[in-house]
Formats: sequence, C-alpha cells, structure tokens
Amino acid sequence: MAEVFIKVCPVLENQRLAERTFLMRLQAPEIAAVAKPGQFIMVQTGPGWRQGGPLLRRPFSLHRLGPSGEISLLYRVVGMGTRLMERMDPGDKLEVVGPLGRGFNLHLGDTQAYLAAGGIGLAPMIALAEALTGQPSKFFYGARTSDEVDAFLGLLGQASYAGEIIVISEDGLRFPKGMVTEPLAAALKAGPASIFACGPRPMLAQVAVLAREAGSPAQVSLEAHMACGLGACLSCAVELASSGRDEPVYARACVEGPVFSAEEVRW
Amino acid sequence: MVARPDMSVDLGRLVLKNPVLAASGTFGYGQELADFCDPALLGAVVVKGLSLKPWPGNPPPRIVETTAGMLNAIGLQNVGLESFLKDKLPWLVERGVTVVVNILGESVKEYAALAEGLGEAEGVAMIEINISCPNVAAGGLAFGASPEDTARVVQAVVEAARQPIMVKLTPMVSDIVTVAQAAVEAGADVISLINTIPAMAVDLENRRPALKNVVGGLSGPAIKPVALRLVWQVAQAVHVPVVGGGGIMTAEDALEFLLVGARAVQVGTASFVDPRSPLKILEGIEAYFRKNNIPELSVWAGSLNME
Repeated sequence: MAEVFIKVCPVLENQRLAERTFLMRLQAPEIAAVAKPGQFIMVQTGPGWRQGGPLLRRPFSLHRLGPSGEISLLYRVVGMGTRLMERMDPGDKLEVVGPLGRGFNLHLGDTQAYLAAGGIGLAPMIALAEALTGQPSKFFYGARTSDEVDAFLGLLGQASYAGEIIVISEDGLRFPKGMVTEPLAAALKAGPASIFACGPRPMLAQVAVLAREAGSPAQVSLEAHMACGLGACLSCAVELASSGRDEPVYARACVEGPVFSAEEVRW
Repeated sequence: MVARPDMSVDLGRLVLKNPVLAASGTFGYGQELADFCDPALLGAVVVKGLSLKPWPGNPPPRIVETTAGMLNAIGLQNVGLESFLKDKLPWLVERGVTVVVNILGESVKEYAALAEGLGEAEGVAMIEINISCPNVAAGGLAFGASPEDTARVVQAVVEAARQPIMVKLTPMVSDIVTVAQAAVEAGADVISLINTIPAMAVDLENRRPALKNVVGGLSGPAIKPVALRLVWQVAQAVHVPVVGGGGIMTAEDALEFLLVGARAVQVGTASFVDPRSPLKILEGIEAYFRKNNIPELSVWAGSLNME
C-alpha cells in the first residue's frame, strides 16, 4: 500500500481569492513528498464535534504540491467545515490524512493534453498543469464570474503554466459568455487529445460525450460524500458503466478514484 | 498502581485478549485501516456484514453528517460468502486477527446457509447475526422487530453453526429486553447492541432528502445516551455476556458502557473520524485501570453504583 500519513499541519496562508473561494497553504512535507496530482486529503476542519464542529473529516483535492514541503487546497465555502476553515489564520493547525486515492495518469504519449475545469473543479487541475510542463496543452476554464477568472489567471501565473489558456464565464462580463464544454468541443473538432476534467457532474457527463465522439481518452476527477476516505465505509460509491440494469456495480471514489476514466463511469 | 491490568474477557465460549471490537461496517475487512490500526491488536474485528451472494448496495449519496452524528444508507454492500472466504479471510487469519463475521440475509434459510458456509472455514471465531440493519428493503430489521422472528433466525443459525453466536439487536422495538431474552433462549451466546437508529436528513437548498435512500441509520455521539440505556437494561435481564456500542468515541465512553454491564465494546463511527480510534480507546481503558488500581476488566465491568 502507498504511504499514507496522519499529520497535524500548520496553516501557512489562508487567502481569499474570490467570493467564497479561498486558497490555503499547509506545511505537510511527508505528504507533499509522495502525493500525485489528482490525489486528495481528508481534513479535520475544526475543533471537532465536542466543540460544536463537524464530526467527520472532509475530502479536499490537492491543489498544488510543494515547493518546500507545502501542499495547498483551493476551497469554496459551502458548509460548516469550510466556514470553519475560512476563519483560520497562519499558525493555526489542521489534522489531515493523506495522500489518498488514485490520481491522474500522466502517461500521455505524444498527444496534446486538454485540461478542462469548471468552477471549484479547478482545485486539482493546477497541480496537474504543473506536472504536465513540457507537454503541449490547452487549459479550458469555465467560471461563474469574471472575478473568478481573474483569480484563476493569478493561480496559473504562479504555477508558470506555459500552454494555451481559454477562459469563459457564465456572467460574460469581461470574458466570453458560456460553458467550458463549448470551447472544449470546438478544440476537439481539430483532432483528438488527452482530456483531463474536473467540475460539476453535468459538465463531466458532457465531457464524457465529447471525448467519446472525438475518440479521445478522458480522465475525470469526481466528487463524492465520504466518511473515512480509506475504503472502509463504502460511502463514496460511484456507479460504473459496467453495471447491469438490475445489478449496479459501484466503485469507491476514495480508493478506485477520485480520478476515473470517463468511460468507466455510468453517467 | 497496577503494572499491567488483565484486559482479557470471555464472551461465552470465546476468550478475547481485550474488550475492544471494531464494529461491523466501520472497519471494512480489516485491511482498509490496517496502516493506522493493526487489527490483530484488537479484541476482535467484526467484518463488514456478509450475505450469501454479493450485494451491490444503495445508490449515492449514501451518507450525510448530522448534529454529532452521521446518517448512512450504504445498503449492506458486500462481496458475498464465496469471495469473503477466498479473498478476505486468509489475510485476516495470516495476520492473527480474531475474526467475527456479521451475517445477514433475506430469509431464515439464507442466515442458516451462511452459518453453515462459515462453519467450514478456519479462522472465524464467532458469528454475529445482523437482524437490525435499517437500510435494506427486505430482511435485516424485519427479523429483529419481534421476539418470535428473532428466535426463529437465532435457532436456525445456532443449529447450522460451529462457532459461538452473537446477536446484534436493533433499538427499534418497544421492549428490547423481551427480544434479547428470546435470542438467548434460542441459543445466543452473546448479545450485542445497538445497531444504528433509522433517521432522516433534508437538503434544504435542493428541497430533497439528503440520502438517495431517504432514510438511513444514525450513528455517532448523538446516539450514545440511547445506547447506554439499552445496554444497561439488557445486561440486567440476560445471563449471557453483552457487547455494547453506539457512539463510543473515547476511552471514557467505553468505560461507561462497561460500567453499565457491557463485557466488551464495539467501536464504529469513531474509526471513520480517526482510523486509530479503536487502539486509542483500548490504550485509554488500560491507562485508566492502571491509574485507578483496577487489576482486571472483570472488576470494572458491571460495577455501576446504583445507590
């Protein structure tokens, strides 16, 4: 079994990037040393249930790995756990378990890589972009607002991403209006590519269709409710395409995923 | 101070090295959490509920966190008897784990067939009959709802099995004592309780039930006081050992269950929060005994002061 750690990690930075969207940097040298893009960690987001905090840890994909033993998380404030994280300052500590799960397969041969991120689905894609340095690539990002696009461009700038960047926003204020699958579909008309995607499930389902039509392999990072993150609880079930009508077949997002081949998944 | 308290405990025909068990459904097949909690160090591991044929489980979402607890509707997803014996049990045996197998079925015949199948296997120390899971349409909870049905299942399993039998009770009955007594009269060696409590949560934003299955089983700290009361009642009413569980997160929680009459405890949801929990709880109990000069577990178990 790959190495997994339980560590109390100091917060180095917790920066607001856009509305409800934060970037947290943690000191976690053991995890940073072995983690792969697409893997995740389980985070105890607060003081625990005895102090009125959440009982269970929450899964977060690794947004960036290193340098110097750091990991970072890109998160959107949606519930009690992330509301507690939002209030944390440098020097505060969080207990995390990781790295967990199956990350992206980076063996692409000589194909071009297309990275597609929708909203907070951007989280695991920056680590991926950094790992694909040297590979010809296009990065498609769909945001709700133009402010989010600005934050994204800043993150990508820090990651020294050298490929082409295509952004689109739902508000259409300062960037083209639309959904991320539209420019992705247009690009795939020019020929197949290796697709990597993370975002809302309807977006990923659409990516799966586009990939099949274009004859392109696609890897998708799925979100799931989890209790343990280690494969014991069976909470994070993902129905597989190999399911029969009466006999569904489930995989665990925490062990067999969170990155799946798009054709493995029943959409 | 006691140097090394004797933590061993006898559950009828089975002697365990200590009183901390990993509860069924919360510790997988032992391997999943082994990096953090060596299953061989625990009193026993109760493996994920087993059916004759593999069960696929319920569609997601299968869990949601609630106040001081969690709600699950996994739907008893498991690999089935054949795969368990071939793919899971050998690892546990090799590791020296005391294995308890939790069994479930849709009919009395299925429970008996499972017991028979497990009876032939080396390395299964005990069978736990699950007649209390709330998350499946047929079987499960239905059998634990009445003393008569409980007795029917228990009797069939006792006749078919070679190993001692533990019966896990549901809190969802008007009189748990009569169900426990029926199980004992039918031949149960040990009673365990409680299983999760059927409950519901709502996703306000989407105006939907939070679980696809709508109803799930509540576990975690929220159910501890309910479990403690039921364990106390049953422990007084039956002459066989009682294994208590329900929201045990710390050594102090476990000590309370032992005090009210449980001879051992099952740790469940705590393993999801921290996979080291069962060992931390065991170490905490030992440390408490050392500090308070309690030489052996039997001195503490059932010693609740009622005056």
